[in-house]
Amino acid sequence: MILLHETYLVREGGLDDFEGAYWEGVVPSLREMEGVRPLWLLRQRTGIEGEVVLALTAIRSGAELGNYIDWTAGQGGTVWRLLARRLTRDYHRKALMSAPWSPLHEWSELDGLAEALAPRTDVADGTPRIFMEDTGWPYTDVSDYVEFQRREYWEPLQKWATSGALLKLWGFFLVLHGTGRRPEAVFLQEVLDNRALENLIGEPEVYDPDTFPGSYMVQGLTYRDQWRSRLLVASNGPAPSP
Amino acid sequence: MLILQEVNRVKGASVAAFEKLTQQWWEEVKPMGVTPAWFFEVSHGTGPSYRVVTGVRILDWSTWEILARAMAYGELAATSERLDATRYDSESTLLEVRAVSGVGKWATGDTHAPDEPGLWVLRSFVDIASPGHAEPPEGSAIALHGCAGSLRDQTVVLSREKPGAVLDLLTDRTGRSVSGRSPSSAESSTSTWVLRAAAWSPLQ
Repeated sequence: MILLHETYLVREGGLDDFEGAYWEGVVPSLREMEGVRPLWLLRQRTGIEGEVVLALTAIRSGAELGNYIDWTAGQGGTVWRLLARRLTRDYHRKALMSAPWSPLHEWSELDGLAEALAPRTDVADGTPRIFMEDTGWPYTDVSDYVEFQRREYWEPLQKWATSGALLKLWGFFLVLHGTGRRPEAVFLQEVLDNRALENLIGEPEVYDPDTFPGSYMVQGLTYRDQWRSRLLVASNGPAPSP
Repeated sequence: MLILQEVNRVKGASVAAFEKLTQQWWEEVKPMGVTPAWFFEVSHGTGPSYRVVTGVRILDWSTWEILARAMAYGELAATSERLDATRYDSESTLLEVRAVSGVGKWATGDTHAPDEPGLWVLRSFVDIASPGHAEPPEGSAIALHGCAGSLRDQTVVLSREKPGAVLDLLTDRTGRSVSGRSPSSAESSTSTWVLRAAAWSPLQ
């Protein structure tokens, strides 16, 4: 399975319009395409890059990615192209593939995740569904980096999951050749305890190298020292009709 | 047909190793239906140092998936990592070939090597109204549409030009023109790369 990763840098003040346009102008077309399934639309209103929207779409195969590309460049995508041009400053399109040990590796997994992937409707209390995306650039062999993430992050997270994890790892991906920078890897995680974020962003990063996540942070310097973390809020779908 | 183009930031002391490994990688991917398209260096005086632009031809999107999967987690990962050791990083893009002119049988895998000297000029621009619909190329030229990566949704024209015409272009002199100028409907400024083919590049 391929995860299409499209980042839109939205013009200031245009985030809500963009979000609405995406749900109304793109998602219905994607849902009609064979082997294409929109997963999440994530947004960041305030951050280093300004207003940002990240559209994540599952695509079953390379051939079906080609169909999607044809749609975006063809007559079917004309309205969306013009609208996106008006509302955005720039955008990027990458194709990702998850590691063999990671979730979101096989297309067949999506059926079992339908409920978890659906836009949440229980947000009346204003609690946002928050995702954290980490993009890293290793300076060692990519395969060693992938193995490090399995051994020192994915496996400890699975142990934590049984005793109240703070994060759910939705996937660990490499950027596929032909679609962006190499070497580059992406973590997509969902924050399960929003209050814990206060500790994450508010406390100094002093890690005990003998415990997780300290051991992970210290060992990680063997593989990379540059990464970017973004907090993104899940869009809950089109606004209800008046 | 697709072209996978990669702009490599090569380590200066590793240029020879990068060239050797690229040719080795080309041999390894041939059984997949992936064949070499070009190997260019950015011409001196026109851009950054040790920036190498490589391209391979890919039959279709299914072939690309096989290649990409093998490079990420499969049998081509080791060669990719040896290449990584000779460069700081690379930026790649997938381009769909829309039209070809005056390059002999290059499109079917042969080398195109004219007798007279020439440079390749790669121009890219955004044409929202008609993405990928470049003017039909004249002379020796290839029109492409960016599908993903660094040139996504851009119209790209690669044309072979005489060095004098390239110099006129770069120094804003009129009287001579190069192919692939952006149409009047283009909505963003163009990017122009001047490229010199390696002796063993399929596109000379």
